[in-house]
Amino acid sequence: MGKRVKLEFTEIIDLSHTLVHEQEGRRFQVNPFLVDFTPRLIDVKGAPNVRPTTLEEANRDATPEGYYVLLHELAFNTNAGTHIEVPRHCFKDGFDLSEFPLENMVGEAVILDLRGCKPQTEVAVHHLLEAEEGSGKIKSGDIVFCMFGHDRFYKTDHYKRCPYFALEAIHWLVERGIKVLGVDAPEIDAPNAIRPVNHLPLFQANIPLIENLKNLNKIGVSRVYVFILPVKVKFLDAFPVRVIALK
Amino acid sequence: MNRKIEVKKLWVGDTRPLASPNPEERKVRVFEHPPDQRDTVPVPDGQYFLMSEIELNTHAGTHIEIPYHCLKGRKDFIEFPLERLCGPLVVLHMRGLPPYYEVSLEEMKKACDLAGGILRGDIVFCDFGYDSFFFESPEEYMANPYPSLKAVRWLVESEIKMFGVDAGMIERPKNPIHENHLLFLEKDIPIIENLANLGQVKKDRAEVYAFPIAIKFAESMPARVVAIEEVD
Repeated sequence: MGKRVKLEFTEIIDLSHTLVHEQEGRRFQVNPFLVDFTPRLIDVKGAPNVRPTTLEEANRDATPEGYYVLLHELAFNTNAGTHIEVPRHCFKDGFDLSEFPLENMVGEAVILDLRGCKPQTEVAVHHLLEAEEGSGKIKSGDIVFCMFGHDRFYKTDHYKRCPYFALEAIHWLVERGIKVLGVDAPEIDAPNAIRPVNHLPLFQANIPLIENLKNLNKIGVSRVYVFILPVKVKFLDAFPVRVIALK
Repeated sequence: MNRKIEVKKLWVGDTRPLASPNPEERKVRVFEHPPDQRDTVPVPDGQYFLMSEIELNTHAGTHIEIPYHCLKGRKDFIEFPLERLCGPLVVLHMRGLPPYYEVSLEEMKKACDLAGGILRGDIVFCDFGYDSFFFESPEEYMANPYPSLKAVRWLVESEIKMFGVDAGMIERPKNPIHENHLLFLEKDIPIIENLANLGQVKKDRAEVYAFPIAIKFAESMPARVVAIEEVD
């Protein structure tokens, strides 16, 4: 027997929100199709028939006569749900999802506890320094997840009233050499920002941003190994992503 | 956390960019939204603020199929356990096979032996060397080798956790029903199609992680599949 690589973790924590048809605020459609292979049961040259269906029909236990396979056509805004934004989001020559380096998608994340920051107030450098006292120093190459505890308001009117970052705080994170920034909030810019000023320094330093994380409070430790594996789409600037922590 | 993260890792087995040899079936279209209201102020050269939309089939590019694809009333990607989407990887290097070649039970067993054997809970990927055809030669890509029914039944009985190929299909051509799919999916074994770069996995053993986005009712999803092997 060959030697097996040992997976050393006892718990998998999902840090992503579930995406539901027509319930994401932005465009998000999951349209089911049944591919009817029944003609092929009679004659192998029989062409399969593809027809739109409903979620109810696709999900019911009583299978109609014949043989069917289920498919979906998805049509969605790439900023739906828990999603990652890469430099192409703001810079025409920034890297896109297919160019996002694999090494930066996996690694140790530091969880900064910023639950003391009030809604619609500014997160300043001193907040980050205080949080770092609890989590331990941020090291170059760390993924940094900021925990506001704001995910509990997801899909409520209050959700958009999240804390936001001072520009100096973003510069401070960039100077620390972080490789990805994530927040359990929908935005990092001030509500009245005219341009995405806080996004720009991140993307200039090739640091992707994840918005709408959840369950950061369930991690329970300040450092955890995470996987951020967005689908590799050419030209695209953002995409929903499953963010997973292994503890 | 007890994972040895300081161990140097080599990153391999990345999935291919989404695009398609068959645009009718595998739609991937990217739009740019009209600029949002923030862009009414002058934007410096080289910058914008994108809003994009995409339309795609759940079987576009490298994608993971779970039982709900063929079996009604089964788990979707919300319910499907994450533990079943990662684990120890065994790559079966089976290059140089002729088009439409059926891999027999004996050949499958031999390939597994060459890779050091398979255990319950292993993730098994077949490296047919077909990924280079994906963009370059769709016709050749569609003529991929596939495992025989007996070979699949044996893999299922061996209780592998997940099965994947660097090809677009795992069925005998013109098979009226997806017998191989049904054997795997009946036992909750996901199938990954259109893998890439399996030739880069040099060690007998590696780890694979394949976490697709969590869409309610999705029966298949494009996913970034990565393998990790330790560097000597």
